[in-house]
Amino acid sequence: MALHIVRFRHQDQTRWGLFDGMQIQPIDAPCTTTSALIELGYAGIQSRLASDQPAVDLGSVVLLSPITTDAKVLCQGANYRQHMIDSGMNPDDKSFNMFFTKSSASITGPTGRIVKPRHVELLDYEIEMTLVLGKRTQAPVQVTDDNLHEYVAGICIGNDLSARDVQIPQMQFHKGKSYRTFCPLGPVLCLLDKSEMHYLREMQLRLTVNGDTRQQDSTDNLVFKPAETLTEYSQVQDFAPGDVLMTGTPSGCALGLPKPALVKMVGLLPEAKKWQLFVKSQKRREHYLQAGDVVESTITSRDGYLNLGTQRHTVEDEA
Amino acid sequence: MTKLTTPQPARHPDPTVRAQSLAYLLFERPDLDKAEQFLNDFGLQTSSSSPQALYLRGTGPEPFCYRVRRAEKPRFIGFGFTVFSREDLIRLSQLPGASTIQPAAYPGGGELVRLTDPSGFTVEAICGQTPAEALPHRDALPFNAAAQQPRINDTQRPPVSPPEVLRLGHLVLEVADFQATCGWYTRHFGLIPSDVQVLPDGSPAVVFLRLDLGDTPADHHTLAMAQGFMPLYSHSAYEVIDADAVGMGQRILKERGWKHAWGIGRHVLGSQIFDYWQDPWEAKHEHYCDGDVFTADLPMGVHPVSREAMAQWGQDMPASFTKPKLTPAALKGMAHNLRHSPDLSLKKLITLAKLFG
Repeated sequence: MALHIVRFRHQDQTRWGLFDGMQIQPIDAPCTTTSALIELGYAGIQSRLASDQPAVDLGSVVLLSPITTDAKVLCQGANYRQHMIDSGMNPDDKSFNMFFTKSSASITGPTGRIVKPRHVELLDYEIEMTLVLGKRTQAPVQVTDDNLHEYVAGICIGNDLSARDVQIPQMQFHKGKSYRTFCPLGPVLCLLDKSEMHYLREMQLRLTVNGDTRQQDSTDNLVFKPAETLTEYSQVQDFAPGDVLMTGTPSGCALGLPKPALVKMVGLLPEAKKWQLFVKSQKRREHYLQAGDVVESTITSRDGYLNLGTQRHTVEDEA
Repeated sequence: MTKLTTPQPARHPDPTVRAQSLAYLLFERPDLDKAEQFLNDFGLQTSSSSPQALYLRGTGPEPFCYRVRRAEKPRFIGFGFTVFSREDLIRLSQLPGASTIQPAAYPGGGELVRLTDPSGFTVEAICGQTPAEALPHRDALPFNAAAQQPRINDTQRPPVSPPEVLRLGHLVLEVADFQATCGWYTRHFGLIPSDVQVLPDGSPAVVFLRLDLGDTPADHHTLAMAQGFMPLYSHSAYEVIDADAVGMGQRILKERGWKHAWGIGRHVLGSQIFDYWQDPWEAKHEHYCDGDVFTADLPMGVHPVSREAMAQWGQDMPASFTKPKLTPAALKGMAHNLRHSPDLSLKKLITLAKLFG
């Protein structure tokens, strides 16, 4: 059965616990990393449920990322049908999977602040269902719907924060997406068993900024599904338990892509002028995050059985 | 003719799930040793204890029926219902405000969903617990009736020790929002009203709700609810083997200095022979035997409420039994609920106070 795990700080101690949406039941696990926790397995975690200890109220803890920073953060780009259409691509061509990574230094907790670096003007949000990997690989592997549960231990909410004015003009995905606090994960790491893998196709994502819904979609609309993605990714990456794969974001980001004809015309301009125009036109869009904005994300299964909790952050300017 | 004039209590035609049994109660107490002393004297047996929590059980196969967690202030948190299947848990987990399905961090394990009823009590639905091994208990005493005397050349000497509690039987709550709370239990756990006692205006003062187990007889009440001015734990009741166990319980608890609340007597609704005792925090605990059991067939009875209708014989119900402690917090709660609960009026409070105060 699904285990809704959280990592939290309570009375100066960092602990793991089971979260039921209201309370946290501590787990007596000495693990300091997500990979060690995953390797305990379902039975191991359950046997360490601390029944003699009081459940802890959500209000008295600081929720931490359930993914520790020894993890690799693997990412997929343009993986929702509507987002691809918005970006001028045909999702039915499905010709290639777009992979990139974020630095693990960008991992941050599920609540608190997102820091907008001083030189960044185009700070964007991207809610993503994030797979938490459960198996070590050192060679290409064939992942199918039948063995998916061996490779995927669970899921959590991820936000792939992006500095568009670094990512696009400098053509640097890694840098533009890896500033500190740019990768909030959690609060819930939902560990799934084999019979629950179908939920990967029926998770409902929703991101709001200051209460306005900006992104809303179902993982049913993922273009490259988890099994085929992991198969392809394994050709270029080793996986380890506790690594994460962010599976792409639905449409609704602040980034506005110009029409293809305009792109062709602009392409004739000198490079510096072109990006100056890009930043200028993007700055007219009101959706980019500014200091004081509150970003909230939720992911739940359609039937409500899985609930990955709520991420809530306030954007702050770098001091 | 006594008539009910409100929508609740009433059966729900298609409840979310049907509760299978009352599984356990959840308390917080500042002193676990003291709590354990009372409960052991009362007849519950400790199944596990740590500096933080205490689990107690009856002789039945239920792994525990009573949890006491250490906390600064004494508090009743809520209780657990056993449900029949994991599908029931899934259905309940989809109710607004419900938790996800979680492993139960209790003796016996299993999985549970945590809910909050409209009065703020925690209600856990649990399923898949591993039963414990049943413990031995003495048999019911054979009675020499005038016409039939099974006991020849033999005496009647029940053991002088705390009576063995067989199981947790029922729980009684007081609620301000009576209609909403009663409706929630009938709708989501399929409880069916056995009997309701109404005030002169036809609104319910007390309802006795039983489990819907179809043709299998169920206790006359597993959860009872009284109209009060704020949500409170009234009492919980534990079945013992016979009337001598109830009587021996009275002797032992008296000898050991615990505070008596009411009894021995025989109730009218539910019929059980009862005796009520207070734990160190004045929470009432009832020994009982010989209660009624009904199948789902029997329709609801409607009766006028009165002090006299509480017992067939035995000691009169003392005023202290139902009189609320009027602490500042209680008065504040009463003032708030008078304004906000659709089921309360000053007139009703006065009627209730006259009846039970």
